[in-house]
Amino acid sequence: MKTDKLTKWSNMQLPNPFKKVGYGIAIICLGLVVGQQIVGIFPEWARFLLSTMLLLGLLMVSLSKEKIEDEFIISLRSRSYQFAFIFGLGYTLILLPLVNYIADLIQGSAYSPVKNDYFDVLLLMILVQLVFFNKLKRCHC
Amino acid sequence: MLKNTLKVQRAIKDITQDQLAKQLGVSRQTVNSIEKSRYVPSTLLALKLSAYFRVTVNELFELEEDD
Repeated sequence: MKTDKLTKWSNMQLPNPFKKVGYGIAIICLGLVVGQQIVGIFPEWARFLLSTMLLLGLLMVSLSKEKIEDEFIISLRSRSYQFAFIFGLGYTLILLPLVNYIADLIQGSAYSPVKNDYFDVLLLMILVQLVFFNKLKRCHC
Repeated sequence: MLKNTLKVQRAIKDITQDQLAKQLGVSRQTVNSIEKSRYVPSTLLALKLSAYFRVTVNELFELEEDD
């Protein structure tokens, strides 16, 4: 019974039209986030809300089914999640501290540990997943 | 990867990848990837292919020597 529920949850996907909705939300939020960086009129809570909505929009795209969702697409999707997960960990644990260390070395300042912003890491992971998934699909056309 | 005779079977039936994909309810990319031995189909899809072409799975798919 528990295994059935787990399987059901692990296969959770949204219908295909949600992909367009997700892209719409993500583009609007991205526009507002970029605008905010230039103009800077939104309060802190609104910036947090926009960042969260941007991630949720991209998550919606990521979870939406393709028009024909078959076993091959499912295998490409799982490979893209695997790649994004490893890339995210590699970025957070190796690349970011390394770049920070080199930058400190060049500037001649003392080594300062990096503070990881979860938004950056999550955004990177989800973008890597979407780009890699689309790239894999195009490779097999 | 498995060798397969999908392209030959398709030529015998004179159907395109797209037509075969529609018959099996999969995408054209799936058919193309199987044909080019870049993707090994599930047992279910292999059986569907075998039923569609009226040949055995062993006639459709063959192990490579190094498998």
